[in-house]
Amino acid sequence: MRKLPAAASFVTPKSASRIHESAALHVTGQARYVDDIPVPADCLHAYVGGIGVAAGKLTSLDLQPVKDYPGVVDVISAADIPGHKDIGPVFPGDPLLVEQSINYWQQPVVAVAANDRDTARRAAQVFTYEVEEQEAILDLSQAQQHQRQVRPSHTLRKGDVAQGMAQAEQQIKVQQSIQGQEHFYLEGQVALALPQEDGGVLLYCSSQHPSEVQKLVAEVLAIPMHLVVVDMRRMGGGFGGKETQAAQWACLAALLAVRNKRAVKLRLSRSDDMQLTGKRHAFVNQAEVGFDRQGHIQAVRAELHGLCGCSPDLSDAIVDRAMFHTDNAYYLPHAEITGHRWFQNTVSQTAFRGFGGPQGVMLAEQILDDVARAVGTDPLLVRQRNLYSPDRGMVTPYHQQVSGVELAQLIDELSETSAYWQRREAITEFNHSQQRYVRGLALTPVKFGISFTAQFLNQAGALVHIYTDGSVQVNHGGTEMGQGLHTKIGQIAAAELGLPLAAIKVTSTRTDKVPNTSPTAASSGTDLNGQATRMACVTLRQRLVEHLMAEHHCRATEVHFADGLVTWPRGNMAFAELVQQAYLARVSLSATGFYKTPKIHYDREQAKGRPFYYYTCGAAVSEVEVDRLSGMYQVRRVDILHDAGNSINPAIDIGQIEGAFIQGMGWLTSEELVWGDTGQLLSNSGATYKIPAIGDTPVEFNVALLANSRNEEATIYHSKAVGEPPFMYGVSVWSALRDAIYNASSVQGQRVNPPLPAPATPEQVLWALQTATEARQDG
Amino acid sequence: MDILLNQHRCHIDGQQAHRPLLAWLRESQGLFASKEGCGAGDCGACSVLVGRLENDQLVYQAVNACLVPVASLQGCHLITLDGLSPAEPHAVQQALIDCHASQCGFCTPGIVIAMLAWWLNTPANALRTNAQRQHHRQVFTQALSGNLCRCTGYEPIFRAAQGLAASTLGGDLTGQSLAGLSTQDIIGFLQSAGGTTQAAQGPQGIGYYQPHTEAQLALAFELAPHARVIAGSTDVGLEVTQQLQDHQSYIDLSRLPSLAGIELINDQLHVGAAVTFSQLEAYFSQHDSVISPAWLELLELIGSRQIRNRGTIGGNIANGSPIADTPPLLLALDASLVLQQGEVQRQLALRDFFLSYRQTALRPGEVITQIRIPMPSDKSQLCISKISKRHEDDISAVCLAMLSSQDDSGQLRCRIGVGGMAATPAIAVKAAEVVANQGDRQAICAAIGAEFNPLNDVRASADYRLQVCANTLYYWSRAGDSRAAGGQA
Repeated sequence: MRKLPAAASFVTPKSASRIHESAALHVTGQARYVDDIPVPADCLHAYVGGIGVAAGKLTSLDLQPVKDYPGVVDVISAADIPGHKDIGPVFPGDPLLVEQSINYWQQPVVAVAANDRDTARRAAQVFTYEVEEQEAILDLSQAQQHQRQVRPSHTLRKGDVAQGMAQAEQQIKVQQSIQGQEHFYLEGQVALALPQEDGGVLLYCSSQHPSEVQKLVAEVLAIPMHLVVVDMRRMGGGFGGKETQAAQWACLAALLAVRNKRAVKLRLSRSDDMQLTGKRHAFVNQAEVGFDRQGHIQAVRAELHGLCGCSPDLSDAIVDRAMFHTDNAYYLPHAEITGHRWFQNTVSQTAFRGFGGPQGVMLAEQILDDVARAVGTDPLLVRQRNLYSPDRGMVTPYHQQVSGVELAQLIDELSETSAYWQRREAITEFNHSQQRYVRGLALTPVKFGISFTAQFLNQAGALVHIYTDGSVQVNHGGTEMGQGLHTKIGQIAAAELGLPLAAIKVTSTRTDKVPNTSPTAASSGTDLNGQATRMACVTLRQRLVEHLMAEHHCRATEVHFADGLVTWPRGNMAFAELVQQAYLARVSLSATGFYKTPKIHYDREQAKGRPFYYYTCGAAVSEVEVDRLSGMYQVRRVDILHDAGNSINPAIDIGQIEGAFIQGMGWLTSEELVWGDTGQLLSNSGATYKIPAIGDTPVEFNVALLANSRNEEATIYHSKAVGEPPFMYGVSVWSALRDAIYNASSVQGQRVNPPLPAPATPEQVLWALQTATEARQDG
Repeated sequence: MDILLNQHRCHIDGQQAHRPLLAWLRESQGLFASKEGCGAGDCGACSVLVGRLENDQLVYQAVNACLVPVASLQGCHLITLDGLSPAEPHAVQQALIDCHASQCGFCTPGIVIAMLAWWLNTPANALRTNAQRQHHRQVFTQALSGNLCRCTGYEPIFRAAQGLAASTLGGDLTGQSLAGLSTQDIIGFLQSAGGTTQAAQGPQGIGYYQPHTEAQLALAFELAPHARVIAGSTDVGLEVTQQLQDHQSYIDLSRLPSLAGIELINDQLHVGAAVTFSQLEAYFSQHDSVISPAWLELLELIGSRQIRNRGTIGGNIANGSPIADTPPLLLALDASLVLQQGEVQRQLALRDFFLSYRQTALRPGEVITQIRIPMPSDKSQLCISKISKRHEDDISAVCLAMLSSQDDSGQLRCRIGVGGMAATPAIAVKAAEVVANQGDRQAICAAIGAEFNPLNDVRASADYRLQVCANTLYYWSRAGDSRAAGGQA
């Protein structure tokens, strides 16, 4: 294990439930988002315009009608871009504006700057053009027929699947279709660009990845990166939707600002945000599963078909992560998991909390339910039998040795506290007692790998200043999108320097303070930036201690920083006083910190290695009640037990768990993306796309952190990442709905277990109920 | 036209009058606390508190600022979060802080406003018994039904409300101070400003007309014959923010006394066309009748609290939407409309009002003034069902209402109103016959299928709409028969 510098004594978890650093600003409406920043009086407003065609070739374009539109100041097309025209984050394929090839409905062709936003919006629709329309690829079968992939397929292999399958006592086939998900961050995409005297630009934007925005803006403008500064105070939600896809709007605002030497703001309307930015990938998953009579899985051969949209964006890594999670918490002796990345004429699908992991977990959990029903055993027992364990096996399909995963005990505890078995009986009784409603229950676990699978991203920097009044400013590369990162970072700096939280100010994320940062994604924000901040604080503390040793002849180990006071055996002084003395003695009071995650390595050619530093685990139990007339349902109770390690801020972690669960539930229940035959997104507003509202929350909702837990790896204070893993607890609701449908069948003396496409809207539930209950009576 | 904006009296001129309130607050007043999350009344991030005098009582309600024209609030007290509590956090704000109820914070301003409206208007609740806790949760869910939060999962917001349950005001504002003003000062303003100015006219035909008398209404139609007629503007507001239509003139019917009020006259409920859904809810929760439970069941599922505070029953009908929520129930009840054009008044059965998709029998310059609902006999049964992907704040895929009773010979009689099944709200005649004659599920399904050809759209498939109709009607027809619900007949 890597040796870390001595840690400051850290306050106990309970007392560390500090409120969000912006809570008081949030509730008074003073928290400032990009659209709230006062702009110069001559600020222009930009908007984009596209063409209602999903696939085609632009053969002519006339901007004159836009130029003539009253109030328009500037209009640009691809020809006006001085530098790079493609802003693909990893691979090319994402043109800033359409050059020739139109790949999705309303893909931006022009960007207009006008005196007000309404004018820009209207004017962006009046350009004239000619298009040769082409056949659009809109679904999986069309993509397969044309063999259109955005990246090559990839396979994980372990053991001998053919042999394992042949030797298994039973085999089943599993198929599932899972729709995508709109981020529906409450604050839509927005950027404000202020041109600078030197040809550079200062950008305020709502982005999870300011360094990438900086790089892309520089490339688009053909200027060095040192002329571009991105300042990001907070996002009104991100969830992955602002990891790569905030860049386009920032680049367009920057380009128009520099061209016109005027500030430019570009803010998408909700419906355009939904139409023009990527979402969670839809997947079609297929598997053959071999198992014994007790439901022990012997072999799985799985094919995951990710629907990626029109460009690679992050799809290579997203489909990889889906493959990495097709085992979820279960040991698969023989496994062959192939992931495909299919092209579609839609917006390029992108990162969304879980990053492919949830789509892999969904397959695992359907496999477990189907195996359990095939052997006629309660799914919970079959799940428990298949968990990674020293007896069964601890090696994943990508050959990482599983460690630090305590799911067997955790599930025992949760099934106890949630009264799983008593409720199973009560549900059976209820289902026999009347005919209108039917209830279902399911427990599903999560084991989620923590680290960016692109190794180089697992690094972070911080810059900490101590001012002569003893106040401290912390800058780091992570971005605040509501997850409480800045609160935790503040707690870490406060703990390391022995100061009250009020002495620490975590500033906006700025590319001129900490350079070359990674996106705030992959649940890694605190793991990476917390360690970097800690390193910077340790450096500063050491400098102060050295000064103290010289002046007061004490040993380094005798000096303690706590409660704003520095103490040593023969004396003490206020932190601020020591800082002033150090300043007069010409000690540097500013330091950087840097961190890179140890131990991880992965050979993608061989599909072997340790892509994950550790796993975050937990489990959820959900109970649902379905109305058999309409398929509408209610979630009656949810219990979650989650392992957050030694949580830095339990209140914030519980907030992440509750919120992620509801978001995951929404993905699998009410949130239905509907695409028209022409490739147009029909569910493009809050009126037609339904994220959970307050009434959709479970009537009873119990969330607990696993007590006395500690990450066995040397993460920051031995905590565990929390952002994404709880999203997959939502799978328990989908599984409970399938259980209810199966129960409706078994009440009639049948055992029909139909598939349930996700999202399981009331309509899908009603059709599955019909399939389950219409089958022949002796079924 | 004047409004009281937080602490200050504010004049609205003719050029500003028609602008969406949210744009006006953020762009002209520099008040940034109200956020634009969707611009369509779906998310509630822009919520503001609107205070009015109702029967000389000061009443505050949450409203979506994105949907309403500025001038529609003339004579009101408008509280935005910027001005709510200048000195120290309000109890609602403190509770949200203490419960970790904000994450990204973007929806939070709207949550605070919606919670504040709940806190001001809801009687204190002890939460000692399960029933009290359940009631509290229901009331609070209703209050927050129009506020989407994507981060918290709402649980900490519930926790904040639990902590406040014992201290809510129940509408008693005596001695309170809001936005730094005493209630006396606020009432003083509202009394002086209310109903004084009826029009704000700008150049080139731009105008906002808010008539208080029939004569003023007639004049408004004369001056602005092409003005968009609104009451709550919950749907017309979308034309502006979503379709970029530039309505520069409005005739606002919300202040006409002849369109207000609910009265039971000779077994007919006379409901003013400008009565809001919230007012209807209040009426039916105070007046128990054979139709009250069904009305309450439906009203609680119409839009959100913010939408119900603005949306009117007349607007819901006049709008002519096939998925409007109240017409199926009104059709089942055989309601009729009183229509007025200048001095000419006529009465029309609702079933004759809807002509084709979004086309109604309304003539130019004519408005609905009243909806008349015959009270069915005490022996009849009224059922309602609204089917949607989400319970709160959603538009129906199908909405069904059935009024049934047995005549002296024991024969079942029923009338069925449906929404989402055709280009207009409609009466299901054939299905009603089959239901009356105790037909089985397949027969009902066949009758519905023969009568309607519903849409496949973003909300549901045609097959689902037909199936849900058949299942529900069959269940209603066998109410009390335990075999009716499950499986297929």
